Amino acid sequence: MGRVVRGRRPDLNTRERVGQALHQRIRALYEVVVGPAALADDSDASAARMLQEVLDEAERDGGSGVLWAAIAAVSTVYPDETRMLEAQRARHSMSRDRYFLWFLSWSARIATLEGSPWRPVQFVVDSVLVDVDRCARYNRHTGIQRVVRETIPRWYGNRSVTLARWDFESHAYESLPPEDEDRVLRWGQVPKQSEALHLDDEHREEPLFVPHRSRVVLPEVASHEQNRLIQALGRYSSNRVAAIGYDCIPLTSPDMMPRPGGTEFLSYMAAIREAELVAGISVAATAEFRGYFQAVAAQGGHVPTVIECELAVDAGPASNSSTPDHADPTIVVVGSHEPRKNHLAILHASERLWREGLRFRLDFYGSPGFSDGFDEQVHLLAKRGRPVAVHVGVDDTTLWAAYRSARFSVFPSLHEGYGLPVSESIASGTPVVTTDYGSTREIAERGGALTIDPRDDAALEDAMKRLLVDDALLDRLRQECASLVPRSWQQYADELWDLVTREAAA
Amino acid sequence: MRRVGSKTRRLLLSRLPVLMDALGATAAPSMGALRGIIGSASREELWLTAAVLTATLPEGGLVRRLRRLQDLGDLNDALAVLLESVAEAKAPGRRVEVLIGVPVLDLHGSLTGRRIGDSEEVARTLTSHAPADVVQVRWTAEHDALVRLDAEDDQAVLVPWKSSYLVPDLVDQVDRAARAHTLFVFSGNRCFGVGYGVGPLTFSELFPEHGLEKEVSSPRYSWNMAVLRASAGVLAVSATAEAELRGWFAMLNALGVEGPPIHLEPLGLEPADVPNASADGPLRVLVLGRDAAGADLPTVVAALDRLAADGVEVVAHLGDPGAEPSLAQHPAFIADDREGDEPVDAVIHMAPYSTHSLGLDRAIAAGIPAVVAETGYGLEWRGRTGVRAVPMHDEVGLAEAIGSLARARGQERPVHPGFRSPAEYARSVWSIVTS
Repeated sequence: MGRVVRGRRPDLNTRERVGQALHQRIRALYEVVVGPAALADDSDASAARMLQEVLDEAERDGGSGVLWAAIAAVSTVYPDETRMLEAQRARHSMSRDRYFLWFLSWSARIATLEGSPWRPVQFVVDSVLVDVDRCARYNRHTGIQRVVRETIPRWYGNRSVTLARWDFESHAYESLPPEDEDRVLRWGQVPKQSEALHLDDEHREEPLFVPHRSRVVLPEVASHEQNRLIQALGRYSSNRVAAIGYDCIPLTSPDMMPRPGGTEFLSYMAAIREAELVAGISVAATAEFRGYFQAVAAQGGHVPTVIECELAVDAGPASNSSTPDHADPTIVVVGSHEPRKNHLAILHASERLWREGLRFRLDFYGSPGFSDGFDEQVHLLAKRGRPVAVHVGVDDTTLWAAYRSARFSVFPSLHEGYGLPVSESIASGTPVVTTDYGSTREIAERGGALTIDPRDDAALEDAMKRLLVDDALLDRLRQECASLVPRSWQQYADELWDLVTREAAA
Repeated sequence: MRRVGSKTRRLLLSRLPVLMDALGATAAPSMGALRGIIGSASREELWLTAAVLTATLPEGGLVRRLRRLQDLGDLNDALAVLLESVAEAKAPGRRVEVLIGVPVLDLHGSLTGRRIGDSEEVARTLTSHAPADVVQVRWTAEHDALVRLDAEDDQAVLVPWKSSYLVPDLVDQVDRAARAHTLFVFSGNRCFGVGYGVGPLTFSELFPEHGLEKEVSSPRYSWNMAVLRASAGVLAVSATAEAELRGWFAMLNALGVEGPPIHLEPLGLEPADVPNASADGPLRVLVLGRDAAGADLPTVVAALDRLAADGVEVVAHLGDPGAEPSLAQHPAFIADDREGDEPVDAVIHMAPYSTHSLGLDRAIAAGIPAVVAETGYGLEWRGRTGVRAVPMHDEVGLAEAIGSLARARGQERPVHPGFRSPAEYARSVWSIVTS
């Protein structure tokens, strides 16, 4: 059960208060677009003059960045493409004076019906704004969240970074409350907070962020509503958007995903289509995103630059390897139980090896995914007395101990953006059998691994058998593991920062 | 595995002769004979076995499971899995016919009314000019098996074997696509699809009906692409579609597959005999497209408003009666009540996304000037005589282009680039599919 955060409800009936907020927003807009505003002049006439000057500048500007900022600041709702086109068409079809009146009433209507007219804005100018919405709000901590929580704190300490989440209606960025900031910056260092229900978020009074001439970094996959606005932010605003490209699995492998799935990912890809840069987490993920943008480019428009910035892996918390309470060697399998992970192939190969008389334990670590018969097959093998076990919800210490005490691990996934369990196994000194293509192959080529075609059951069985019976081979692979220096999170964070902040992507 | 009753066994045995006949097996139909078949079957034969005995097209999980049980030598377990699948299929009244060595044309997508680009016309053309022995099929109401297109019920199901199989439109209903995907991957039939590009996955905001709905039953274009990914070849409708597909298939390296060959096969045109354009009176323009991806009616409306304000007389006809209703009511438009052979002075193709437009092709073939958006298929025509290209969403540029057409009426006609006929198109496609 989550926690309800109660905030103070603003007195929305106070026209004066809403008016003051509007004046503040126009003044902030003016100061960013035109220059310092005259002091102590809060009159409507002054605000009107400032807005008119901003709209004039938007027209002189030739681009759309000032117009985007004006709509965002005055209405408190980032514009989507439809609104940007509507505003541009209105300017083309109206006189200067008429357009001013139209813009003011149009923006006020949006603010009243959809936005937060009582809230001020804070411009984030010539800086870096990082959208950490999901990591801030929720306690989920798997692949993407691990990347965010390892990387962003390393930026935050010594660089100018603004962390942002989306407001209650997903209309604009806002600052993080302290408990949300803890979830991003101090994960594992402070007691885990329960997730708030955020029922009172709609009444927050803190300023909304309006990024201007900044880098907006997307290390997560945003929601559908947010993506619509991010898309227009990338296309029309003065900001440059950079995203981490994890994989395109929901697009190219729907047959390995829950049905129907993938709706948010579709709009996410449409949003990052307008980015300047996508940093792929592996060579394979980079190639995947390049292929996607190659398809986009056939329509003739802008596409982002895609550059590889390989993920890091840590060596796990220091601990002594646990001593197995059994004599047989253990094979470890890490990953959620879903068709893409190919766990049925592992069970099949293991059964053949058990029938051959080989002795080993098979331990799965990972969260339940969706059914492809995995649970039933494990149950069947266990009933036959096979030493197979499924461990759910274990902590990091247990997981690393499992890696270290295993004879080897197996990760024959059919589609991965990176394949963290391969890196982790090697970093813990344990050889791994993995897929001979894509990102897992990239990792395996450095040593410590055997690669196989994951669709070839016989090849998987053969590789597992070799590592069970061939001590010399296992020792060689262990030495390879030991000789590899894992790429650190600091390296990853530094390289990613350099990429997203450089002036123009190559 | 759960127990199945004697009824299920009888049902399985009743279909076994059909399977044995298709495989050329000579033994008497029995569970022992079936056990023998499973023990030595290839992967494709296991797919056929599952399809015939369950009277459905199986999903991949069943074929893989049978294959692994065969590999372990657990043939009794494989028989049990088959019996269980027969029971689960809930198709006791179905009869099975195996289609051996014939071209099969899957027209189910056309029956659903769902379309993308010119898929209706593609399906119609490939049907009209199909080989004599083609079998036209649709899927059952449950999306689990094929029946003849004109079948009155879903009881006589078809299983293609050593055949060629062509999907001219979409396979994006998830349950149907999952089985079609297995058919393409495991069956050994030579399966082909028509490639319209990947717009619903790259410009999803323009195709909300192709994947953004969250209902479980909603179609998913990603599934259509998953089916094509496993095909023996994709027939691209244009160079733009081909370029999109090449990008898409480049993504498949991450799955360890290369993607199928792409054949550029643009749709053909019937020769049109169009009267000369009018010399005076309002400029008559035909606006192509019907939806967000295909028409960009807001931009067209804004341009027509500008022209009206400038005193340029333009009568705009909507080329598609299904065009966005709210904008179709705008006074700038009149319903498309033209007679079929009545000329227009120009066509407008402002699609923000396109890989092909039969309407544009027809206009150009008839020598009618066009204004196109500088995107997708419009780019294929940019720079040609009689074709004006303007940036996407640019109502000012569009108004200027229409205005210049009004001033230069009759002086510019596109050069006919020599379209092939629909029959030539179909002949070329069928030759690839059946070779």
